[in-house]
Amino acid sequence: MWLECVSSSCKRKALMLWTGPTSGISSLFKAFREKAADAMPGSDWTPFEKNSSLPPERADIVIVGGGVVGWSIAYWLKQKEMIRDGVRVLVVERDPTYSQASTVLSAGGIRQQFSLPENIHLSMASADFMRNINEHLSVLNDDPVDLQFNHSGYLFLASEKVAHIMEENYSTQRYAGAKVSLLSPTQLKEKCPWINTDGVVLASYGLENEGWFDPWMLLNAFRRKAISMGVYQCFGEVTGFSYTTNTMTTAEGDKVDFRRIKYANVQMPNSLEYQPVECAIVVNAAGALSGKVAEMMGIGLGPKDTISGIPLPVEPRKRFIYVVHCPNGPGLDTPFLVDYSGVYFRREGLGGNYIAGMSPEEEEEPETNNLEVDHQFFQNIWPHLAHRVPAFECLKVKSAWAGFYDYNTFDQNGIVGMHPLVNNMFFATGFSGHGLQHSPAIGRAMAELILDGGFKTLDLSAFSFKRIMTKEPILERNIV
Amino acid sequence: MRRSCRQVTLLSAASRYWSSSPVAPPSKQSRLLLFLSQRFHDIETLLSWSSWFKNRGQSEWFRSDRRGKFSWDFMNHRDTSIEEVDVGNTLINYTGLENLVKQRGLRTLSVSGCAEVDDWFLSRLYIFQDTLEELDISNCPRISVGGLAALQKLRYTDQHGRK
Repeated sequence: MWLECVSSSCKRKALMLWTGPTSGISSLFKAFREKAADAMPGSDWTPFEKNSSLPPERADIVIVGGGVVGWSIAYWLKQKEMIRDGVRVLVVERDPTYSQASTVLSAGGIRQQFSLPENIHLSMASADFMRNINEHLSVLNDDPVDLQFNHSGYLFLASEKVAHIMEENYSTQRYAGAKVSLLSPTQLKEKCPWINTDGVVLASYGLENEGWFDPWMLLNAFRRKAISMGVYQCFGEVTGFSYTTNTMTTAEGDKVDFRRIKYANVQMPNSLEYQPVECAIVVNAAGALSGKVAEMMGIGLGPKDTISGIPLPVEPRKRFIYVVHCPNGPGLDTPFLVDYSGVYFRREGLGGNYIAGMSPEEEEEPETNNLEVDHQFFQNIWPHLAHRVPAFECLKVKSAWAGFYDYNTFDQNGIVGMHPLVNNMFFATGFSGHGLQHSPAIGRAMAELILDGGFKTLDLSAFSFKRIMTKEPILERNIV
Repeated sequence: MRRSCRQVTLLSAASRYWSSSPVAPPSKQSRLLLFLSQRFHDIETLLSWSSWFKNRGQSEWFRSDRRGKFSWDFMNHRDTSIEEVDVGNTLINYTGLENLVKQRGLRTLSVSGCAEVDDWFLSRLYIFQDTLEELDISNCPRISVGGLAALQKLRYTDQHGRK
């Protein structure tokens, strides 16, 4: 069929060459070239009319999840490709309204005060990115990106029991290059007169590159720039994968299934229509739902004591944030304060509003089938808030919301890298509340892993799936 | 003899001007200026435009003249540290601040009218938190509330500025 199509158009154009004006020749050749390219296999041409909201039939890299991590990976993949249109990237997002997405429901903080050097470096690299965000993400003729970054710093308080951990973390952070300072209770009181230093033995304050920003602005900046660079966006849900299996036998005689994803089935919202997208690589950046996406590939569904029986240990955990109003509160100078009891709060806007939250105990984890807020839970937070900041004894809860952490039940740190048995599925998930602040650096690391074959700027091999197979958790000490 | 700062090398610094101030080991100040012209373009322009700095105990400012040349009189005061810096109306930015970070005795800083001074620049001023007394950030269009939150780290400072 394509031969006839090409030869008949050739004949027509040859005829027109003799009769038509000479300025039309190059446009004729161009049209001919385009038609020939369409006729080649691998192009998007189909004889049938296509629903334009469907994704393309073929893509090189399919990113499952359109949150900040997914779009950051899409941007960096396009940023690092060597030639124009070198990789075709498709981002599949289930919910165009982002109503349940963890990105937009986040408190938006960024800090370097971690205990793992990898986390510290991720935050520092992300802060550097955000400082120069317009060099990276500005689009011609469009507004510059304004993250509304508040440079207020994080203030961690330690009791007697955990002060030694804070000191060790301080030296790790300093060694990694983070600008952090330790404060004694007297210095703390001098700096923040509104604090009650009762029970506080040591405080750690971030001097630079710490604060909070607007997550929606960052997400949209990544998305806008990535789309301008040619990333395809599709609103649909990945419901399954078609894969080929290659069974190999180990030296001991056990059979191991190596799977390779061939097609990702993307189903349209509110419809039975779906498009199998032929792809080379799938990136699982689905956040709280990454565990489900991994299950579609059979990860975790194998026999108990084999590698294929180890599931991706990421599940959604609901966290509440309460907006409170207190007219006599700390004011503009409030840092993002994290108390040793697990309660945290920060200023929101300039009208005397603050947002506060707390991580619940393991036994009290709320159920995750919806995003309803449990207002009773605030009664656990208030006493700690009022104890720490006496001005908060009279406050009024204005509103509240809930969001999901993509909680890594194994060690609460991200999982970055390839799965050992599914050779073309990459993970970038499980950040347990730190995904937003690490997203620019994670995107760059994933792009390096996919396009260059290994990590180049930051070595995140500590976050690979291997530690889950060997059951060696890398834990953050003092997390919130 | 007046020379343009762009021709400064470490060797030429060996020629000294004898003066009434006590002789002491080379100060951070001269190192600073050598850094300035060798490293960052921001600071080269700083020295060649109307930028000024003032030493402790001196009451006159070192500034470049109309032709952009900078006098070598500051070399008379090797051991003193810079107290007041006025980099108003220049293109100084976050990276340019690198050159000022060694000044431990800085008391006054004026960045009025600098178009590139933004919130990240302000967040880096914690380096001067113990000594900075006056900060002028008037007419900096890129500063917002987020940057003002960073100024809480400066303890003794009396800030004035307007958008």
